Amino acid sequence: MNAPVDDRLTALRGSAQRRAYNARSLAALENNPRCTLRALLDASGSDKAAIAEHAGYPSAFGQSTFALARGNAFEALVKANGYAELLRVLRETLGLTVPEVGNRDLNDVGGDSRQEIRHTHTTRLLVKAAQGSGDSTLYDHPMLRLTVGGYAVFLEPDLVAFRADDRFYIVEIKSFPIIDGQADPVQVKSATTQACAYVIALRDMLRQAGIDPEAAVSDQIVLVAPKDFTNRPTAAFVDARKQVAALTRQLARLERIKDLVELLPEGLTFDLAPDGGQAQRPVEELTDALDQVDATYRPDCLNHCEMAFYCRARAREDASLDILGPEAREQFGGVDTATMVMGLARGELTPTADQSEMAIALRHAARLRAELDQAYRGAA
Amino acid sequence: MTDPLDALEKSISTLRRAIRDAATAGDTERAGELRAQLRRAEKAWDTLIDTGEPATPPLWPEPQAAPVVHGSRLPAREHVHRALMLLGTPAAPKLIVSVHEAFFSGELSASKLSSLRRDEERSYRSSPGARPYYLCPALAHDLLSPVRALVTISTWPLEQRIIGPLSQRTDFLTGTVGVAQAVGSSGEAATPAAVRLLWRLAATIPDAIVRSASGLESAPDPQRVIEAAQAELDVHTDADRATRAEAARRARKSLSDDQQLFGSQLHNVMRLQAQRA
Amino acid sequence: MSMVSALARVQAMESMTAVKVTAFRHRRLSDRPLVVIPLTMAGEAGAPLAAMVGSSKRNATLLVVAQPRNRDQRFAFAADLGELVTEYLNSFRQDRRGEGEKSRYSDAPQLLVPNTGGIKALADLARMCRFRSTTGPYAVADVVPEFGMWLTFLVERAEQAGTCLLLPVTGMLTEHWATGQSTLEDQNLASLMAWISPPPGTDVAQAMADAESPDICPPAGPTTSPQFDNRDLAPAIKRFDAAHTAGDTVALAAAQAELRELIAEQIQPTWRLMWDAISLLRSVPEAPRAAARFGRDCAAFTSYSDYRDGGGLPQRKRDTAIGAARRLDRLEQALVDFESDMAFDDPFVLADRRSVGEAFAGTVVDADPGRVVLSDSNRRVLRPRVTIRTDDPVRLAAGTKLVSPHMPDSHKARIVSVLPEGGTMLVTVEVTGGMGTPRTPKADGVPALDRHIAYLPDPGWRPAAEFPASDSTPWTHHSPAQVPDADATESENAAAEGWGHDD
Repeated sequence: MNAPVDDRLTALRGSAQRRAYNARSLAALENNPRCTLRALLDASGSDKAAIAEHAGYPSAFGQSTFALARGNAFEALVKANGYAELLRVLRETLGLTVPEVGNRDLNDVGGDSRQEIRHTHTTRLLVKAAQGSGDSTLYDHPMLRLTVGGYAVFLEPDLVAFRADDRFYIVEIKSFPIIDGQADPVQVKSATTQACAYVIALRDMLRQAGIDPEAAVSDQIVLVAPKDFTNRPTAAFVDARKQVAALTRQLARLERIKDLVELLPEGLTFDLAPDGGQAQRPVEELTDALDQVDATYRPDCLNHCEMAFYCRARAREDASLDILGPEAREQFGGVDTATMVMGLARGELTPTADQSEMAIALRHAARLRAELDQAYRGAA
Repeated sequence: MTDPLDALEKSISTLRRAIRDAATAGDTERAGELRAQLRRAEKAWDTLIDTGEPATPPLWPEPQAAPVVHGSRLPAREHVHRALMLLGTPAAPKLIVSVHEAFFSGELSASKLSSLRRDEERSYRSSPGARPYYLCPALAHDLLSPVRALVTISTWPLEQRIIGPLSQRTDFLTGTVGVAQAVGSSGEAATPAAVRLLWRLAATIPDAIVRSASGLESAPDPQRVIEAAQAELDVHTDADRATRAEAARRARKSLSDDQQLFGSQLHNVMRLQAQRA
Repeated sequence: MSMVSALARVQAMESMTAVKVTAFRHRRLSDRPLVVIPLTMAGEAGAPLAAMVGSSKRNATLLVVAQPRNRDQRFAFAADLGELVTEYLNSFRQDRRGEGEKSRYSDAPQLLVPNTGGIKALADLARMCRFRSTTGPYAVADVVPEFGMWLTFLVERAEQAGTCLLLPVTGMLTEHWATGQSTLEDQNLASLMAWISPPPGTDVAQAMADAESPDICPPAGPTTSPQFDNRDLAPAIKRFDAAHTAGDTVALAAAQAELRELIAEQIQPTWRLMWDAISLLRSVPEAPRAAARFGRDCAAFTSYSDYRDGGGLPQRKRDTAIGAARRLDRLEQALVDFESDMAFDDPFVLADRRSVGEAFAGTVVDADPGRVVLSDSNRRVLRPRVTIRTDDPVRLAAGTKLVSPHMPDSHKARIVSVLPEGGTMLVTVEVTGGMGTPRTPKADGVPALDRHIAYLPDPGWRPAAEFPASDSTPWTHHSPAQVPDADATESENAAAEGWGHDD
């Protein structure tokens, strides 16, 4: 990435510390790829939660201590006693042979847990394994690295398994249950997308060592989760091929952030002007700055993005149809606001040429509703 | 929201506003519900001001300790020693506690164990050799650095205290043999906790548990568990021993006596490795 | 979503108030529904935390699991809830009418939960309970597996369109009202109610904001808000555990009382909203055809009752290949029937179908009521034809069989042609049923000239699809287990681990 773009992104972030991507925020890239505001905030490493809060729309994200504890406890259980339970399920799913039990704990290197050190150590061991001279099958918490929009991002899968047929498998350990062979598809998808970032990062590492990345890293993810209502783990393959391709595409788009930056007005910044930890920037000035950038609000942003409440308020103010979500929105192709829909419905606005077909249907629907309103006014 | 105190103050003012709205509209039921929420928030605020800490425990509460059985007044380190001797291998605190609860009486918790480990090294350094044994960490085969997650006994030979890539599996299998022998020798007197522990360990070893045609698993047969564990051990033992022996030789040559027990902080080695990579 | 429904949402958005999208309530609302609000613990697989249950607003029972990770406490909870629910179900097994195959209970139970998440929580609870053994080392109370099987029956019935034995209240509300927010946000009972009936003294905008604040409107479940978990619930459970470990009965009682009070405060606002929603729904008149659908619910309830009385096995964990195909077929047919019923009863729903061209209404501009043709068997039969002019964008093909909500039930017709004329459509239909014979034509059998009339496709009656018997399926479609499912096929030991105090 060239220097001017970098400078612009730094200016956008202002005095705040750069927030690095992580597997979760990378996975979020897939959710609303067309949103410029989100792309810029992420690429500049801005603190979305702090910005949303200062703008008056604190995000509602937070994790329950119960969910957190459960997740940690389950991972510990799966790895306890020398990975005994994990070996059992991997022998079943991956078909690991009895001799394949070697393991390496990559959580630290001789007590040093700095990311760079761990990454170096990980690279050495995994490349060695790929070259056929490794001594292990299970690599616990390897530290991978991926370049996103010109910046190094460290990523840490739960575990990587290296099978004797010279292939790495990303193993994701999740605490949501697989009940009668089925898990919640939403949770599976989010786990898989997260794992895709690991697949891409691991392939990157091997490519640099001159190893064929596609052959060496499977795009089948191994999902390890509790079976039914027990604590006993079970494992299943999840095909992540499509999602790996999608995330690769989104990462490539990030490299083109330059095009977005060039369109921004001079001097634009989302700096909160903190003083002793307290944001001092006048709220209106911040919201003015945010309003300079297009946001593509969708109702499911409420599940993913820290800025969602802000964007929703803005969409409401504009009477934007985005508020209603895509199912309603697609009925009114080419029209963006409730005001315009009602104008066309009442015949107060003249449709443009490409709106004409939709407008006929709309007026018809409006006539039907008007008849009904008249017939049922006051009733029920 | 970053500061919990700010968050609470915001909650309190939101609730006050909502109570006003409900009261003005004469909605006493709703106002009552909201007042209860307000009391909660105010109480949480008071707690936070008093302690300066959120009322939230950082993680799940400690596991419930086994009921205290009187008559066993051994110090905790003796409990740990006894459990480790039964297993005959380095072990994680959780397994040590499970073995203790399955076969011995007296109180031992995981949190107790972790504070114990810190004391051991301090005690050794203030007067080395004053105790007949010390509880010390296992050592990593490559860097000879401490593997803090695993506890060992200082009187064991280095080969037994060093962890190579295969050692966790061989140690697990060896430990399972130890547990199976202990269950076997207590016969009918084996506690339910002991049988459960053996079942849990054996369930992950191929052919250690008999499965009927319907998939029903029976109670573990100690002899069968020992044979199954031994069969898998035979596959790994030679390679594991070689790694451990080589590392032990290296340790004896390059480490001081206390480093051979508590591991080496080999920053130099790491730096070397980093350069080499 | 049709143009009419989408427009209704835009109207709601503009007027900042919910708008009607049906004239009727298409679900039977029981005189005595059982409201169940299940709460579960975050991060755990179907670990119940609490439930508030009752068949009238003033008669609520709160059940709380003090330590949801403890297996014994979970099943004690399941037994308590099971007692309440089965007692309620049994109260509908009193009045039985009809003989032989037609014999059935005259009324059926109705469980109402806040949202679809509530149904999922009950489904998990059902799965957790129905295979449990009432003997042996991990025995549970007799009512637990019985409750699990009943609950499974209700959850499976709820998958079928138009049934009303188990319903989410958010679903009932959105069937009748459209809001100016997304369907995702409509899943939140408080924000849905903010649109339909904001609390007195609050406008919709403020009510919507309040509905999303966990301080003012605790979530309707099944999961509680992280803020509540971290700030209030976790410390309270910790105190309970500490008292339990110390064996301090006074402290234990205090900790339990505190937990109950805490959870009661979280659940109470949802309880109130549920009953507010129910009385709102009562004010909407019931659709004429809801009664017939309810009759089928009564029949299903009766037949499952009888199956239970006969000591029937618990439902399978997963369908066999044939079972799955049969279920899918049944669900599809039920959906078609329900949609057709609604359009037939309800001009709003009919308008929806008209706007997408799946139905039409207009004025009779030409009629030949006396038209007679020779049938294949050379008999003279009456085949009247009428032509209707409509503004609707008709997308029905010639030959489509039709019914009309404006004609007697025996009236049947078939499309002959659909021709555009100017900005309108001319639809010619031939009457094939309910018109009488050439000698004795029925007076009201054919729509008269200038009359306004609507037609929609006849969903028809079709025989249940034929599926091979289980023993003639190819081996590729065999279910491996031809024996009844039971969790005994896994080790009870393994199951027990999950509930233990393991960590």
